[in-house]
Amino acid sequence: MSTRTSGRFEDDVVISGLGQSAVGRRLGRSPLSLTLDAVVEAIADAGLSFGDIDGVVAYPGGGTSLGPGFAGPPIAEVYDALGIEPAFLLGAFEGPAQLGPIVNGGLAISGGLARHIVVYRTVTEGSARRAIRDGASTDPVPPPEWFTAHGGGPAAIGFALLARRHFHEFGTTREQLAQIALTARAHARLNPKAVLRDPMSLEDYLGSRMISDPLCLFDCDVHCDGSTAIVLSHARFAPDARDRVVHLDAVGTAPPVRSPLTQHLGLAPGQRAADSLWRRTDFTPKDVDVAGVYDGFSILTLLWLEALGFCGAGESGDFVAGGTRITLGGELPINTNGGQLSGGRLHGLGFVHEMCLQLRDRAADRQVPGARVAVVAVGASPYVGCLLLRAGEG
Amino acid sequence: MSPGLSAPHVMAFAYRRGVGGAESRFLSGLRAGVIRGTRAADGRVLVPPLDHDPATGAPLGDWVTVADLGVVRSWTWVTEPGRGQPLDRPFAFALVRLDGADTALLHVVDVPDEGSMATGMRVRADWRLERVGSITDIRAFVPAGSGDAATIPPAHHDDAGALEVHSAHEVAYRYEPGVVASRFFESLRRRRILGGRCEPCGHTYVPPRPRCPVCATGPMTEVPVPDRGQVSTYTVVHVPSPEGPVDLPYVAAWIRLDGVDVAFPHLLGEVAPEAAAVGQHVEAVWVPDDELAPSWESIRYFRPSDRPDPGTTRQP
Repeated sequence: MSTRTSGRFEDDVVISGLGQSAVGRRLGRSPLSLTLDAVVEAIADAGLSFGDIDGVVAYPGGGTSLGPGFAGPPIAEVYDALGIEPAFLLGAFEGPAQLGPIVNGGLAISGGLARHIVVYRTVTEGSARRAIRDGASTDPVPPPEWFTAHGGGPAAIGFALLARRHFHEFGTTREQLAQIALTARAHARLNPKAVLRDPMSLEDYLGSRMISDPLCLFDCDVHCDGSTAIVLSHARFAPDARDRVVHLDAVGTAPPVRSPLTQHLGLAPGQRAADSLWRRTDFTPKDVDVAGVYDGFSILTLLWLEALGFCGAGESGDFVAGGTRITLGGELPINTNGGQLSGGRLHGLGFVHEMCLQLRDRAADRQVPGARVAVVAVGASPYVGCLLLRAGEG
Repeated sequence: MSPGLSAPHVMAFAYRRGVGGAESRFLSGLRAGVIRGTRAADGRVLVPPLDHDPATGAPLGDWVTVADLGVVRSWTWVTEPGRGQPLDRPFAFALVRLDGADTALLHVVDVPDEGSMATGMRVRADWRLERVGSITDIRAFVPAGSGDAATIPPAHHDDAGALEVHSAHEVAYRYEPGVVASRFFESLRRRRILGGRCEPCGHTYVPPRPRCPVCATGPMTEVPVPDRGQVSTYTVVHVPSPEGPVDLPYVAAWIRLDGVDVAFPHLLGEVAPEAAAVGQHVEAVWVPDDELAPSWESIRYFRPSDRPDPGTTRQP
């Protein structure tokens, strides 16, 4: 039996509505406009009206941009535009990564602060980064790193160092790592909204441009424009379409404890989050039918598969080898929408949207038959989080 | 001011972004010398315009040109303008409701003194001659004479197409690394690397720290450490970094010096990318005497070494 914490707020919370704007490399639309498309669709999908919504929660919240096109619109602009009168709002960057709004929104609902909360995540990084590449702007310079001789550099460097260490300690190979990108692309071909849909072979992967060895172009997610929204509802006040609601089964929120002696070599950033998730549920990794596993860089997907217990520490290379296990039809299909590597960097909430579609049997050509339990895991040290979702009783 | 090193830093963040439909059309109107708003479902004219109706959320597309004359609805006086503010002398930020509009536009009123400002005063736009599609195409609002009529300058530019706005944010500050780090950097000027050893738990850190991050004991004992060590992980970087080496590819690595318990990031040189390896023994290559500075960059890079010191070598 599990050692469930008493007073699980998750039991009070369902995901009642889903919405998503158009998704593309460069849509040329404002963050607010994309967000409203997603939010309006999610509210309608939940069978609610604007007036029913009494909370808005988002990551990272306005004014906290880490780079061009990262933050999306401020929450206040969104509820102004909807003309709603929220009882609760929160935008937060630090926390369980892009799943923070679901944890915080769920707690607010369970605690009686709100009944129906809309959560959104909006990016316009495709447009913004393109403007930089065109020479329209200088690249944003990261804060000076006093102790680095080579500058802060692109984010890929830090994750490449992590990948190299995984290769060194566990014998992981590029051919194994490639399966994350190849699986994502194979699944993206079934998703009309995915931004990269051309076929990709192992030879294409191995021959692609190296970014920061061993991470090549296809190991890095692709910036895009798009917005994803969900509605969280109190289970008691949820719309009556029982087959359409998705239950929040458990959340995993514990961040990694980082040792000053290992620093960059922490190869299990999601371990404590995953452990905290499994302590809150009766399900086990064996019960999971489909997974959305963060792939901002492909190495993170491997590390999450280990942290979540689908395989042992250091065994993820073998686990994904050949790709059949993690592709549709396999025992644990992952990132069925193409992930962020091919689907587009919708940044966390895209995985939640896709897993909810799977649990509602609405994932069309990429449906995992009979999917009842899904896991979502998002982020990199120190901001990580995971969710377990289960299908409604319909 | 703490004793030790001190250096000026500037953090800059410059970019341009495409603006959305209503904002784009509004700004291109300014470029052409006209101020335009959108009409909401309830008939009110919104200036600046919105993409969506504030009451219903419906898309708005009914465009209205309003006067460049209006009335100050409220204002606040800026006594000491800061860097980057619209004027370099005292001025007012004001909410101006233009004739024909039902909402107020935030802008600047340029008057000699605070006593010249009044809620309800009439003001007119003072247009720039060179306009680029920016809110600052109106230099400022100025008091309107009783005979002033709305001016609508002839359009010089095609106002079609999406616009982009430029942002250039900058934060200037002084960085002081503190006593321990200052001694570390100063030692690099003498081609010496200083570490910090925690006597209770025995760990040695490079760079040194004021307190041990494991057991919090401090201050730690300052100890010289060798400029030789091993690679604990590395990556061959094929994309340029704003501050990084010019020549691509380059090898970035974490290096743990012999006798030290933590690694730090630096560069590998004199090694073919395919020959780099985790566990490789390396030694520092220092810059010439006249380039030595209190900086990590006094070490140009680390290169493979065939002189491991067996007495201090540990598992990388």
